[in-house]
Amino acid sequence: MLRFHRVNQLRGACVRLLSEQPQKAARWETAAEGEYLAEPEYPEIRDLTFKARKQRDAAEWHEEIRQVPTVEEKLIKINMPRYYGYKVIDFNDNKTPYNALPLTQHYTRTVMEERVPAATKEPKVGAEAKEDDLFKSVREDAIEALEFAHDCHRHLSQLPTSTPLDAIATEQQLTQIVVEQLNRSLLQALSAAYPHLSELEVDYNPRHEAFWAVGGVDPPKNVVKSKEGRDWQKDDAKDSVDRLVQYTGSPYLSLRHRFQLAPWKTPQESENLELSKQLPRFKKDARTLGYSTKHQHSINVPGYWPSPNGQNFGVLSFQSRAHLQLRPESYGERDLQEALDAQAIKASYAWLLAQANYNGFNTYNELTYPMNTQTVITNGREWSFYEYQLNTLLLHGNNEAVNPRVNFCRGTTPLPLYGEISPQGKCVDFNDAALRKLIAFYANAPSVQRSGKELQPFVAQRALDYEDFEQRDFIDKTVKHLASKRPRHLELPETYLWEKLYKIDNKTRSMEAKRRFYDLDINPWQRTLDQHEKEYVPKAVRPGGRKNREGRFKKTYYP
Amino acid sequence: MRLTNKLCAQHIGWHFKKHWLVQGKRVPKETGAAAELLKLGIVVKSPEDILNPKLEKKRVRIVGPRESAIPEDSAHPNWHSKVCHSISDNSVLIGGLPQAQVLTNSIELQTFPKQIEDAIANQQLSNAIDKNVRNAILAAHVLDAEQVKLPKVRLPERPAFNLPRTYGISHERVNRLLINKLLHEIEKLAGRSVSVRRKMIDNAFFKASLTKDGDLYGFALTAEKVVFANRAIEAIKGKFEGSLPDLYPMKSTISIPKQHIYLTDNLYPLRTDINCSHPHTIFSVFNKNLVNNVHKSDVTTSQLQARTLLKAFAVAAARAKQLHGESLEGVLPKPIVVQSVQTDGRTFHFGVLQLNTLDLGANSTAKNYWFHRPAYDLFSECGYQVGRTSLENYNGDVFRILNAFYNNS
Repeated sequence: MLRFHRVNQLRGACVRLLSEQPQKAARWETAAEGEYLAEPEYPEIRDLTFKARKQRDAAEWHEEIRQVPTVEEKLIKINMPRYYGYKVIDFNDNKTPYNALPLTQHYTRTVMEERVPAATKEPKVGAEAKEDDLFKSVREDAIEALEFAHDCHRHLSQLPTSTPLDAIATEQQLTQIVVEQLNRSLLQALSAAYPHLSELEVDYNPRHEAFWAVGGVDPPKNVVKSKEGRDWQKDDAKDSVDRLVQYTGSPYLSLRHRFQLAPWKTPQESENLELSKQLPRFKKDARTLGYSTKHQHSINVPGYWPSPNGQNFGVLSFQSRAHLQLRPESYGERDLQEALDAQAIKASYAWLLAQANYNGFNTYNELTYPMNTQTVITNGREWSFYEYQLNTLLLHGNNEAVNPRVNFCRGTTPLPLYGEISPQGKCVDFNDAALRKLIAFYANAPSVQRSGKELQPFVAQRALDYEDFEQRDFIDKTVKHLASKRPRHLELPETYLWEKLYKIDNKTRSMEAKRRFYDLDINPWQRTLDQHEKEYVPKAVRPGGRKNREGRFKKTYYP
Repeated sequence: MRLTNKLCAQHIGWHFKKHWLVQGKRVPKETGAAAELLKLGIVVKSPEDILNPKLEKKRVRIVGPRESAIPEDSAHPNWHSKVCHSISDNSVLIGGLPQAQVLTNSIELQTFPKQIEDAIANQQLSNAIDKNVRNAILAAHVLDAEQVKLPKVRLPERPAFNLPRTYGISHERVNRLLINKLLHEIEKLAGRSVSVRRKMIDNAFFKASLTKDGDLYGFALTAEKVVFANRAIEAIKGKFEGSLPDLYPMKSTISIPKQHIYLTDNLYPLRTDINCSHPHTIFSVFNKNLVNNVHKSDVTTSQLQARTLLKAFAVAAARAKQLHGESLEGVLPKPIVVQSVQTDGRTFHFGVLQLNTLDLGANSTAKNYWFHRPAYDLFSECGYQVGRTSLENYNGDVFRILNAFYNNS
């Protein structure tokens, strides 16, 4: 009935417009008094189906997020609909199951470029003799650092007080020392030739976390069953749904700089609808592969809190591949390579997404410029080098089919840096090609510098510029609390089994007062972040004195 | 009354009742047959052996059985009847700096060696460096994104209060990041010529065993960061006079835990043939929740300073033992100089130890030299103040002293 009424209103208005009488401007706000247009300008006819209305609501919410003025408030805004957190797929750097690459490519909209076969050595031109000297000195330093790192690790493992570590922890300990020593010697050796290296910030085991929504996934069974149980949703039961993903990782080392790396794919190459259609789509639930789900707030952290000193962009990160030791041999060589690729794509996408969040973009608001990073996956001996270009963040809902932009990743097979370390501690069979690639990564100077407005088009001001100190404090504490993954103090309200049997499934207690949450049609999981009792301010502390009734509760500043 | 049969009769109804039970348990009488059969050499089995045979339970070796701990008594393979006074990371000397001086046979000098004093006075650092250092401090204390549950904060004047638990960066990580970032800044300043002669490692363990006046001392200390140099620091020129403090009535071994189970080996993290293996500077972290006196009482300033000295001494002694052999017990052919920094993230205590002799006896003529200055605060407050990061009262001297220490050779 409602539908017909609306259409009738619309028809009536169109008829009135067509009748060419000077119209009162109230309804359409197009013509002032006396002016009217020869061609009628109709507003677009809104699609009033349930699905379209839901999409419009979602678009309005995304627009609301875009309008939020500060970065921290945007981080809170995405969490507003859920007090207890979202159900997210758990992506991390401790687990890469079999056949992970198609799913990872779908969930990050990444094109994995064809691997260029190991290039033959370019003929050394005479003018490059100086570079060769630099390379020779770097090579010596690198070999020394490597041998030193292995000695340290051997000493640590032979200590009488040390607890015996399992294979994964041993590899991580060794790789941590190797990466730190190599990083130090490379930075020292190359600083003179590449001045940007003296402005790098080094993070040790930083915390990289990112949250995003992916569309085009088949709905899980409970969603299908729930929709089939309702008449008006029966037909849409098998429609694709959005899945939420949370990446949590901690690389060995990460390097950051004030400027951004230069992109290696032009905007024309990045917008390719046919290419995006060729990407693999993993429609099944991620749990079928071995990923698990958890309930968590959306957390976006690139290793540091929003810095007052200006923006930071990631230049290089060293990821761990220790967990690949747990995989059985039967998975095979090809899947090992795919697992490394998947790990690189996940880690790069997540770090770039977290950095983008600190610039006002998020999984619902598209990037306006590409972002790049370099990732190295290593276990001390085998080094895989990857570069990643992030062009788009919109992966949810319909964007999965219509978004022309794709992200790109290109990388190498694992290159051994050395053959082995002899029992005397000497490095045997050092591989120059791997070192050259590593030096190339360090030498890649971040050169892209954007002005404030271009850098953060959706951010109006910084949270620390708010004059109201209560508001600043509230925003800061809320962001840190959401990111801390602290469990809530009270449990979720529970439907007891007897209630399910005697009150919900079989209505045997019709005279009982409807007081419980399921009687009042409240879904406890839909509790929003601001649905809580406000904090009471004791009379002695109240600004405005003991009798100030307005200051009874602490004000909240949810966006 | 008369003693009659009737009078002596007792109520034995209980016995009648019990009789049914008793007669059920028939005890077979010895017929002598078993003994005769045994005499003839025939095997005699009892019914229990056949009906309930004694099975020996086999020990099932599951992967990773729990190793039963070797009891720590005189049967332990490392037991010695002579006690060893073991100085470790988490205990402090109750006598503070005077006791440490007597222990390590060193005289205290309230200033740095001349070359370091000159270096501190002559260096000129621009404001840009200070800005970088302030950013580094903020990055280590406040801007890093780790969130773990921090230890409970107790207010001494309100002991019953349970303050809300805070989540933030753990103490060890703060110090690790701070030391790494400060050293990074120093190395950038110093340039390749100096930094190529230095190497660093994390969490190095040093062990040295020494005797003094008949007592055995075992130093087993970890330094959170150690800077090694390819050439040892030169011995400090000049004659220094001083006397050891008199601890009477305390003995120098007071408050040091005594152990019967120990190993008298000496451990140094690097082999001598490695390029940079001379100990140059050590950084140790003081965590007031882990390091305290007996019964968890607070550590005083003097005890803090003693800890810096002991760490430097352990490193120097381990190096001496490695270079000159384990049985060295006297004046060293070449003195070993070790610089030592102790920090808790905010307070820094600097010191330089010159080890001249390993003879710690009371009547040794040569003494070791311990140069140090009272502790410096890097800042007074660093944290989030109503939503904004703040660093109050930044002290530039700390960085300058660290710079001078690093460049010292």
